[in-house]
Amino acid sequence: MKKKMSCAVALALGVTLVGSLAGCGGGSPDNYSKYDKDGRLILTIWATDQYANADVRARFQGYLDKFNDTDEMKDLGVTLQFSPMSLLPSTLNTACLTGPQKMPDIVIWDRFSTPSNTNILLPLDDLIAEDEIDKNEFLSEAYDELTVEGVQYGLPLDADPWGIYLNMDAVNEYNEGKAEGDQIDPDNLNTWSALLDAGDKLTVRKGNSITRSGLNTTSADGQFFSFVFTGTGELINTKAGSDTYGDTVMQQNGMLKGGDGLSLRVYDSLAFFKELYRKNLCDTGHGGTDAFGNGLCAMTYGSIYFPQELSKYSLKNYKMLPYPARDRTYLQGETLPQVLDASATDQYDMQNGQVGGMLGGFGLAIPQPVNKAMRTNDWKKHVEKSWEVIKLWLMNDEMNELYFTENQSITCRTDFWDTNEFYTQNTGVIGDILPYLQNYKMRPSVAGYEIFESSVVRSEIQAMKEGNTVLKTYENIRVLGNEVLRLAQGRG
Amino acid sequence: MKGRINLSMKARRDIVGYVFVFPALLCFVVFVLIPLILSLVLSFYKTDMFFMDMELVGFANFGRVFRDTLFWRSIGNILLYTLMAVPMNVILSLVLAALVNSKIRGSKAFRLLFYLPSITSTVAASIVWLWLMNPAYGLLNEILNAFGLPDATWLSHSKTALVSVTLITVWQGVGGNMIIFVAALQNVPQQLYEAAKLDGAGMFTTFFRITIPMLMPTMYFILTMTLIGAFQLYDQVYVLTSGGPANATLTPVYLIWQNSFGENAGAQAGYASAQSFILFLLIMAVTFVIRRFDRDGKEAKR
Repeated sequence: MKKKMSCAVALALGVTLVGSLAGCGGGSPDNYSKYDKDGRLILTIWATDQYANADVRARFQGYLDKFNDTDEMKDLGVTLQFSPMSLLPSTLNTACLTGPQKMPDIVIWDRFSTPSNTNILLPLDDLIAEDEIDKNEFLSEAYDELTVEGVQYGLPLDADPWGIYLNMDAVNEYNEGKAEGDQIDPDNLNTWSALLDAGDKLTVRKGNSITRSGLNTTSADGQFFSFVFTGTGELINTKAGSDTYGDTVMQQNGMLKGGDGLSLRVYDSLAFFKELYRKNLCDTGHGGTDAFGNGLCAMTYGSIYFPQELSKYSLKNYKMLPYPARDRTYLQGETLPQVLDASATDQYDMQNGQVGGMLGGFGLAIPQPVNKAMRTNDWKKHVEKSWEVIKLWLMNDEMNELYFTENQSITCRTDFWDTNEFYTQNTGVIGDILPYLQNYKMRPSVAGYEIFESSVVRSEIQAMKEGNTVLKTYENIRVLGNEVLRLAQGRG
Repeated sequence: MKGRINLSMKARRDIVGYVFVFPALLCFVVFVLIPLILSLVLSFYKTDMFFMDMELVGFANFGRVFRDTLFWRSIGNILLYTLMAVPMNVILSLVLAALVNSKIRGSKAFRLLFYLPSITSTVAASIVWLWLMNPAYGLLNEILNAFGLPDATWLSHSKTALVSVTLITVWQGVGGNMIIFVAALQNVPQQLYEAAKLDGAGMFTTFFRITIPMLMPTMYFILTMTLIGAFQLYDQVYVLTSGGPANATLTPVYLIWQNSFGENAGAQAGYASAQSFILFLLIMAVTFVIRRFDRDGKEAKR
């Protein structure tokens, strides 16, 4: 009896296992549509886990409820249901391998991830042409970030510029009683020198320790691209068709005098970072949101959505600044390349940078099953409706306004910026950053960029912070960077 | 009885055995063997994770691994980590096992306490450690300061990050090994201890002459498993340091993950598979060496 029982248990376990494995691909791609009680087709929408934050989710759900309730959506006969998804590109990849019954219909897509995921995103060129959508209506950097080899994989939803957040209470406290010339002018913190100076003034020291950091330098390595750009340099050659497409633009030390000066400007940005670290403006523990929100760090970095994180802190008086422009060269003394004399920097315009920074943001895209046999008629019906929803959401002025006002975001439809009250009258961080938005740039979208940024650029800058010279850092980024990029692009 | 198949006792016993083994075997085939074979096949191709536009490249991916500075940096890191973590883990778990196995009051409670980290989610525990090791707010630096010592950099400096990760993984891994050692200790025949006591052996002699030799098979098992686990370090690194600072905690598995699933990784699934296979061979080689030691030890005893 005991033996029979054991056999039965083992058999049941085996059957359950086989059953659950078989169940992984459950559902049919031919007939998976679901309808709500009013007979409207339910379309699912996924977004990154950034939307899992309770406040962000509530705000977005509030918008969706209003959007679903519009006459236009009722006329379309669809309703949107939303869920945030962790590790979105990977999760979506798995869903697209399984079939349309497991996939969302629309995805709020991190534009930066587009080049590596073209297999799972539906090309929209035919639909865009059919509906005569003009790409010039969108912020070009955002639109182009969804273009890979001439194919369009989505339409840009929002612009998410990064910048420097400044604690205005700390500024006011410093300025009190100071002569005008000694004060920090928050409206003119637009050069590298002014930033360093303000960071120095806002740093409060007690003996050898820092009780309030002037400028967050613990995570500054992550902002290097923005500083390179505001120094009018470039890290990677993104000119399609060029022999060195996808390589770093960095030339060998001995050749730094030649070329168009782009690599020299990268070198200069590193020299600026060395100076930033040398000034010792930040305690190692003052790098996070907590430190800024609690007044322990006067300047830190964040995106346009940073105020959503800050809402739980007592700090309310802050301002967002674009990354400042380079105003002078930092190539001097120990940081001057051996082959270069100080006067030679003039020919590369090392004094005039450009205020701006790095642009992130999302787009709206339609996923597609990887297996073409799964692109069933039912799925095509979903695609048709999803495209209608995207058009309504982004191209209908009233609906677009509903989205950006409810979500407190910057639309990529640039025509709104000068005409809509939400932007023209904005006194928050959106108003702070909007005048500079045309200067913002996306990160280079070449294969391997993430590893290049995290394991090469940031790592080498961290090593420089711990003692490596500018020249060694530059050479390591150049050599290792090219190796990593070429490997990722299959050229190594 | 009509229709009944007459099976021998041995056949019936075999069938029961197979039925019991079947679920584990199925899991092994589906989750280990098939992925292993697919991974090997994939390593000869240039492809993305959908296996579309597969281009046969022969051994090119393996050739690239040998030229990949980051990969060898990660191997260097993992060897250093293994050298620190494995002995620390094995020795500490053995000492703790010996302590909680003794007949002192409250030993069961300690056994539970030491085991708790092993059943805690790695991610949750790592996040707690992130706070404990925070240079500004962290409890560990507060303790150091209380004794008049300066702040330690813990995870935020390339010279201390790997050591900090090691301490955390040892803290989390030691409980599981301790339980295995406790089970092994309880199987050591009591007569051996009694005989040693009669012969006048002290505590240390008994431990090194009876306990350790009797635990050798368990020791080799734990050593092998801990070593394999060490080479596969990933989740703590993902949460605590993302491979930084300055690549000081970059591990092969983290790099393989970046190459396979990272943003804008490109068509590197084949290359990442080649890296996985080289790592697999490395682990196999180390395991083989340990097995060899184990066998030599047993033969020497005969």
